[in-house]
Amino acid sequence: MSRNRIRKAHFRASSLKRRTVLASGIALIAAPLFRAQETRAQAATKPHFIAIQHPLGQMTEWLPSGGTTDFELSEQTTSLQPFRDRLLFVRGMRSALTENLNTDGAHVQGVQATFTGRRPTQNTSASAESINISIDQEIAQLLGADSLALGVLSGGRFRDVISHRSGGEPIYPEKNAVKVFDLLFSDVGGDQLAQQKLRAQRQSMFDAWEADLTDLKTQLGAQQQRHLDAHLTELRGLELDLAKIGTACEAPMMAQEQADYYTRSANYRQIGKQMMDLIVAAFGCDRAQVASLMWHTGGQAGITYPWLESTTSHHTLTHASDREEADDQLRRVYTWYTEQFAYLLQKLSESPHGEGSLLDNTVLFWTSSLGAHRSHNGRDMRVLVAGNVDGYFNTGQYIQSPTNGSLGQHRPLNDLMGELVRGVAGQASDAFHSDDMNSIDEMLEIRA
Amino acid sequence: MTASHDRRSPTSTRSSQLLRWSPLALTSVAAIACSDGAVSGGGGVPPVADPGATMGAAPLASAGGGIGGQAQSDPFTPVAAPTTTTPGLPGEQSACSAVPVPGSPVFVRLSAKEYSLAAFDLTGLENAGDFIRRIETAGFVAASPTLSDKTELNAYATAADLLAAAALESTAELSDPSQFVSEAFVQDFLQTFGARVFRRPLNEAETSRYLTVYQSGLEYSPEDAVRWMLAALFASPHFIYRVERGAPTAEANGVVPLTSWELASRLSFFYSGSAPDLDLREAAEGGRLETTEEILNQARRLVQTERGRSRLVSFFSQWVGVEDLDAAVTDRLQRFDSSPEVSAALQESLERLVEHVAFEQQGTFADLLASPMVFVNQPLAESWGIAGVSPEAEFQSVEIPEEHRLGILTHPAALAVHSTNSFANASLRGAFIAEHVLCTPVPEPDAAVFSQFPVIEQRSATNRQTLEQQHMTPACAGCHSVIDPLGVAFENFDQAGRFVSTEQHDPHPETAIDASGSVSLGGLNYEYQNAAEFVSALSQSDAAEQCLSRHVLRFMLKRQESPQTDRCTLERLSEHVDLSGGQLTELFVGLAATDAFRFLTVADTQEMQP
Repeated sequence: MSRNRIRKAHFRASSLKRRTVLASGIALIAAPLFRAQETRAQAATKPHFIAIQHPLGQMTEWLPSGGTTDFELSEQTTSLQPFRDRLLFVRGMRSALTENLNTDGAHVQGVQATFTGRRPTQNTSASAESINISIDQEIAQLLGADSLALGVLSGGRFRDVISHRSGGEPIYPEKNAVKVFDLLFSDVGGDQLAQQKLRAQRQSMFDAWEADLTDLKTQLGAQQQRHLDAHLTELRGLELDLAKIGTACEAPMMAQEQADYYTRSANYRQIGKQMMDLIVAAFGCDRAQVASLMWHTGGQAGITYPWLESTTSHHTLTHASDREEADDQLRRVYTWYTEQFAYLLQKLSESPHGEGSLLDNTVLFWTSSLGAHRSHNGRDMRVLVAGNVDGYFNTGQYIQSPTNGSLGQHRPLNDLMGELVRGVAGQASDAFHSDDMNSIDEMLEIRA
Repeated sequence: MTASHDRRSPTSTRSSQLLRWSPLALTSVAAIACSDGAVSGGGGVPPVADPGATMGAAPLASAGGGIGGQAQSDPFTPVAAPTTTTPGLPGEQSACSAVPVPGSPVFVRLSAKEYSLAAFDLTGLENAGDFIRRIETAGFVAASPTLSDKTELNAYATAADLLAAAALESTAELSDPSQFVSEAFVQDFLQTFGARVFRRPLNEAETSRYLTVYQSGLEYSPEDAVRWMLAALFASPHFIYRVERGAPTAEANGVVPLTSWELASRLSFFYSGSAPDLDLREAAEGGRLETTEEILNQARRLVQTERGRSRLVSFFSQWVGVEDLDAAVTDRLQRFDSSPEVSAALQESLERLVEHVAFEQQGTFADLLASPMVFVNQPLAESWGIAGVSPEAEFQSVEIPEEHRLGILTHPAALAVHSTNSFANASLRGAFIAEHVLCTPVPEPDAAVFSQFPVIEQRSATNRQTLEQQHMTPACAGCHSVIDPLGVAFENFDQAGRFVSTEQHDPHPETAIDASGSVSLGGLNYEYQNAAEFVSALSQSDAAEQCLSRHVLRFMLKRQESPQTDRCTLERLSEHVDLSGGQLTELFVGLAATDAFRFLTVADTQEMQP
């Protein structure tokens, strides 16, 4: 991590800010989101990032009440009280789903629009061309770090995917926690001789693998080569991992379930917890720095929460004509998701990293593919950022962007995401910014 | 569309039913096409998913016509028009019979199921491919051609280790470990076993490559050496992908034939969902996959095997939507009955029907759509009020006891899947019929539609009227005026697929349900009073069968069909099915009789379509 780059980015941003403020006279709408940092902790810390999607927006009453810094958590978010000062609630931004106030994209594209910052131009077909890189992959790429793409009960459709490589290729999330465990921790334990043998066996396998792939590539057209290139890239990643065999690492305790366990909605809670535990353990063992977690897209097929005494599908509840009864169930649902987020924060805060905890060095970006829970569009997005990567972000704030009025007042979520990339990866992102100068100005206004 | 096409319609005013339903609905059908952009209310979303790559851009309601009408924008109209009554694109129509029309090469990763079956044949280990992520491609379960990430790749390596250990135990040729020190022995074994793993003989470079792996393992022990070599074979891209290049030496006029090994793979993956069996391998080796007849014979043999049957059944399960990626489908089937035996039996009941019609009855698609039979075991029979099925009995076929129910589309599993949890949803059911039975794309509603979503304060007397109140608004009517009438044909079935004769909703729960309507299919108008009459109409129409062929192509090729390159193939398939009496099995088999099954365009082998 280069401190110079961060400093440089700050100077550049500050001078731009001063210039545009004078020119446009836009008023400050929030306290500074970003605190200038002279130094970062010198211990061997690494920045981490987690992007999380839960289905179907948030209720307005989920949001805090009160002002920017003196906000109070809502009833649905009381589980976050211990972490209040590490949170940054943001409401009112618009995702790429909503390019302006008159057009919203088909909301089934919400996941891709939100996490890649660009609305796919095609509706259902599995074409990667119109998709941007996703925020988690952008950060992983800039950091040169390993990443995980995990799903709890996500679908297998193109539009159900948070993580996209550069060029748009989807990374279908892994839903089987045992396979994630295998990748991360199967080499943990065992004596030195066994580890040496494993390394040698894998190396011989990978050599043949690579030679076969290279042969194949020369015989195929460009489209097919693209598929094989992805294979080769991951193969080189596995080869690099061979060096990690035998390094100190504490594998998490995890029940090893059968494959079909991970396809049953009855196990939603347990699978979710396993995935969160795996993320924390992977960070703790330095086997990944970035993760995405897809709970569920919330589509028509639906997810239900019988343990919350909610047996109507989440999707149906957001369309229900009996709103009172539906909201009653939805309160429990959104409270539960918040508790899961709090659990993840707790686990991160208990994991030592450098001189502090993992939470001190992680940014979590939690939102949904949609804004308000009933609206099914990308306006008034409700976002919760947690963690300040060692003091980089000025957390403990509730930023409210105006939720009505002209387009100019709706800041693109892209600009917030761009700042998250900058904060975690230490460099500006080409992928996440809006072309809207007004909104860029506003984003800068909320920086120190 | 003229009245002369209405010869099967008992009345000349086919719109009378719609008129009775709603004058507004009629207007909408005539004026707004679902896919012409009127739907999005000025939004910038292209209403048709992917006009370039997908076919069937037929507007749901073409001007002056109903569903599946003349659809001049549908590039497949010539295929779907068996007679001269429909004006099509005459210039293109004749092109198919003039010259051989080669296909494009397949590049796919074995799906979880395919990998598992192939691995089982080689090692005896079951479900080894469960780690391969299931995705939806062209409406069917597959594996993404691009590997997802390192986790998935590592899972291949782990699976390869397990398969190697299993092969070491189960392979007869490896029963004497004392031979493992001999490189000559290992090389012989590599050539025979490797050819099964790769589904073709290894070339020299590959043989020496895998012997190198063996040699590295010798540092530990001869057994390790063989195990390492086996693991490397199972990890190879030649095992986990299916790649076709054709036989370049036989190129003529820009067309290459598939090699006999590639043909064996196609036949076996298309018709049995796995790698070639011994019979196919011998045919490939002995040059007995040369003529269309030899190829068709293999296809017919394979489709009748246990795996072949289960593959055809799986196609229909996925087409109906009861075999799906989402756990939600299972959840939904389970939610309607407290008895887990009943929900477990639902999918099987539907699959038994398919198997019966296709294989025992050697029936047609029309037979499947209009079958009077239903398969029940004791828990199902009890739940449906059918007497005389003993608890010990296996599934058995009985006559459907209700007069409104007929065939696969009214099977309770099919109806339950296309419902929401709490109520039967005519729009979902109608969209399913439009897309899966009539190949008419229905775009997802965009948020602009939702922003104008009418909230119903007071329900009308019938669900149908409430729907109309809700959906005949300008933002919704473009699609709903077309899909809702298709869906209300099933209004007599609740969200669990149970027969009901009166309205289930307040305020008038005793009102009799009206499931009547009319539909235009291939230029002919059909009126119906209930679901049984509606599905009979579908079963008589060529439109439904033509649409099914497209789905077969998607299922086999794991991609959307292309209006340009697949049109002739579909036409050939259609001719084949007609000539063979329309049997469902021939709908599968007929693909093997097309030029595209045996030949590739050279240009395509260089620049593969995505």
